[in-house]
Amino acid sequence: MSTCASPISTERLVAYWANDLDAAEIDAIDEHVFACETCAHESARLEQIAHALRDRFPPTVSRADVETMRAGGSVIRENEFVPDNRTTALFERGVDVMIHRLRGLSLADAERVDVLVRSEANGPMFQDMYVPFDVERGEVLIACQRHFEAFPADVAFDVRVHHRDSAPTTSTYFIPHVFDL
Amino acid sequence: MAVAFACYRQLSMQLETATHAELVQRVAGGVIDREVEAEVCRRFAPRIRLYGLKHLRDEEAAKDLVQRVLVVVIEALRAGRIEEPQHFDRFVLGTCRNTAHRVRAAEHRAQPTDPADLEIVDDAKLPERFGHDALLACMYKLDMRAKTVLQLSFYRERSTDEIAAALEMTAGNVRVVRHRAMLALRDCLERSAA
Repeated sequence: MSTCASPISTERLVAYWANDLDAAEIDAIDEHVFACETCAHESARLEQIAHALRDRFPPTVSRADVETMRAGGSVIRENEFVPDNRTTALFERGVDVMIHRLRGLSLADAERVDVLVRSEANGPMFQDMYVPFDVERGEVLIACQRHFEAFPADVAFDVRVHHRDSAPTTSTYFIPHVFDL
Repeated sequence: MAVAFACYRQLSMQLETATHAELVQRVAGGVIDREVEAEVCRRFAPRIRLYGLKHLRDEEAAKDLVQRVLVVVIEALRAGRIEEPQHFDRFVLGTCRNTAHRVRAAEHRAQPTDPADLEIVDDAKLPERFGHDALLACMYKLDMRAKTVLQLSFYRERSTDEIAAALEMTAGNVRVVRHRAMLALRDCLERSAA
């Protein structure tokens, strides 16, 4: 592969794939990439990562996401949880995704909902912000996927609701997981 | 047979190092040169696909774009319609922009090209995608802030300013964290794929 006399920095390429550049900057990168095999290769490597991040289902999903999974042939089990109540979730053999419906949330004036997924013993694992939420049902949906088995089983979900006119509130759901493989 | 193969290899290596202008000039005059056309596909198919992924934001639409653009480009090559051979890459990009614009305007995907029309497009190697398990394992190794910035940037598609506000960081700091996290994730995923 030929070398590039003035390569595009990886910072700019990351910004390109993160939609953090204006139209003129995007055009300039397109022009450089079409003329430069080295930078095209680097851009392709970063696109691979951006695609992987966009293509996965995050821990928190919308009802439409659930229907997409179901339409794609995934075997789904749904269960319900209420705050401050410890209830074990059994991931049965043959199930692809468990949808945990975290209920009992006051979402009528919610502007934003964030979910922190943590191990009770080891602390935070993932944080998902601006998650989808169902105002009428007062719930947030967690998509528990089989490959989460690799993570600690003593899972707790902290759901933080940012209200329009009052201080944020946090509800915690303790859901130890058992995987029947 | 062995000699022919060796000649072909040597010729292909010469083509790989040829400038865009040299490629164009070799097919000037209505000649059909399969080797040059294959080299054009090898060289530009990945870039056209990247353009499609960025601007059409759909894997299938990007694949269709590769087909449509290469058909136009190779027809232009055969017909000697490349007026500035030294700027061949700009011709390909211009074709790409026009075709993507038409695809977006029509809001429909391109009709698949008959493979017999352009068999050499298959020569373009497409990269393998990373698996979800590998991504999750590599994500888990990142610190919480890095994971959250990536999640908000690429999945929730939040702007840098929104992310900065949510995480109580500056926009500049979000960019630094995102850049470092992407490189760490790339290294981890490429190692696990190797």
